Parts: sequence; structure tokens; C-alpha cells
Amino acid sequence: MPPEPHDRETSGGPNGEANGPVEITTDLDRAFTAVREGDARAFAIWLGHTEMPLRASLRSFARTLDVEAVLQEGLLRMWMLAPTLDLSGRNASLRYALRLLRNLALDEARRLRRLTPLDMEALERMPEASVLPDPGPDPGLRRAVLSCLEQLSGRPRAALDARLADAGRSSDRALATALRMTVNTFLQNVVRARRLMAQCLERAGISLAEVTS
Amino acid sequence: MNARDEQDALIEAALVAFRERDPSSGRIKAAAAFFDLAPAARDELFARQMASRHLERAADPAGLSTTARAVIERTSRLRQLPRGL
Repeated sequence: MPPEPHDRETSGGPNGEANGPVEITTDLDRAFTAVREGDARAFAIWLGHTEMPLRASLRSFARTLDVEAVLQEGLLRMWMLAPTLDLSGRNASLRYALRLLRNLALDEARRLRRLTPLDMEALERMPEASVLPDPGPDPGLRRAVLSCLEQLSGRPRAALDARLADAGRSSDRALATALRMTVNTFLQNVVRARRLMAQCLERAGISLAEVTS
Repeated sequence: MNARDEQDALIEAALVAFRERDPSSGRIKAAAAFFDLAPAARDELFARQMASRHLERAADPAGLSTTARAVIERTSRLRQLPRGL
């Protein structure tokens, strides 16, 4: 679980005395500094704090674009561009990523405009979202999710486990083949597993709508 | 399969973190299933993706979703741009 992005004050003197303007940095800023040096583990920490707020910022594009594809493309660009980005200010990398993703989404929407009628002006007029880093998953939610996963069984469990273990590396066709299912049967089993998970979490007093709000 | 089950399966096909890359541009491609979804179903897809990624992060020992893991996997094959470019 990524550490919480606490703010810390850093000053120039070896004993903490101020010898100039006090710079405020966060765990997110420190992770991004290491990402600029090619540190893949730091990038995982950075992703842990930024993925969800960045995904939420693309909500207004959900009817127009495959948000998952835009998000992954933007995150890959942040990795590639990182050494060239000399950013300053608290959570500057998150703010930069927010703008990069918005521009990517607008470019993609303009490209698709040739195929479907879109209200580009409305999309372009939308204000840039302002977001804060994600502190990471709640330990109580983690216990409940793991308990509900344990209660799944049979083909729904096999299908959902395959999705989670694979973590986006393989197509559903490949996962279904490995489980000796058709793609449709595989998808039906994942859907069933998700419904059972939602019911189990509801019984534990956790609403999925509240989890994401 | 009833209509609701069919729509749920279509949403599920787009919900997954797996995305292909365009061989010519190298860009991440949209899921084909996304374009088969009606506008209201795309809203539903977004909401379910948010919920699923939250739950995946909660279940993962490192607190990462399948999206984050898919991106990390791809970065292992991508070079960063040099400083001063």
C-alpha cells in the first residue's frame, strides 16, 4: 500500500533552520523526483497516489472516449517524459499529469469527431479539474474485499482470479482459453463474480457507490 | 442470456485493464467493446471501472490496481526520454 502523501517542510539548513524560503514537498513529489531518475518502484508509488484522481478527472469524457485507454496512454507518457520535466510546487507532477490527460482526451475527441457528432465546444469549455493525491486504500476496505474474494467459488472465482492475477497483460480470449471457457462464458462468470462481490460487500456495510465517492 | 446480462457482459469486456497497442503509432487502443456501448452504458462502464479499480487496489498487497500494474509492465519495455530534450 502506498504511504500517505504527507506534507513535509524542508529547509536549507542541516539542523532544520530556515535559510531561505521554506519549500513544501509531499511524498508524491519525492516519488516523482526518483521517477525522473528512472526508478520504477518510485513510479509504482506515484501511480498509487495519482491513478484514481486522474481517472476521476476524465469523467466528463466517459461517453465519448474509452477513459481506460486515454489514462494508460497518459500514464505511460508521464513515465517517458519524466526526466525532461523540471516541475516545481507542491504536487506539481499530479497537476502536470492532469493537464496532459485533458489534452490527450481533447485530441482523441477531436479525432473521433470525424466519426461521431460531438459537442467539442462543451468539452473544451469544461474547467480543468483540481485534484489532490490519493492517500491509498482503507485497511478496513482491504479486509472486507479479501474476505469477500475468499467466499467466491467455482467458475466465477476462477474467472475473476484470472483477471486479477493477469493484471491487464492478456486479452480475455487468452484468459478464457486458459480456463477452457468461451469468451462469452468467461465474461458471464466475471460479471457473476462482481455481483456476488457487491452483495458480500453490501452485507459488510460497504456500498460501492460510497467507495468511489 | 437476457438483455441485462448481455449488456453487463459487454461492459465487462471494456472494463478490463488489457488494451492493445496500435502497431503503427504505438498508442494504446480503445477497447473494441467500448464502441458497441450506448451512451448510458458508457456512464455505467465509467462508474464500474472506478469501483473495480478501488477494490483491486484494496486487495493488492502493494495497493495497485490492474491499470497501474499494466502500465508498469509496459514501462519495463519503454525508454525514458533523456534530460534536456
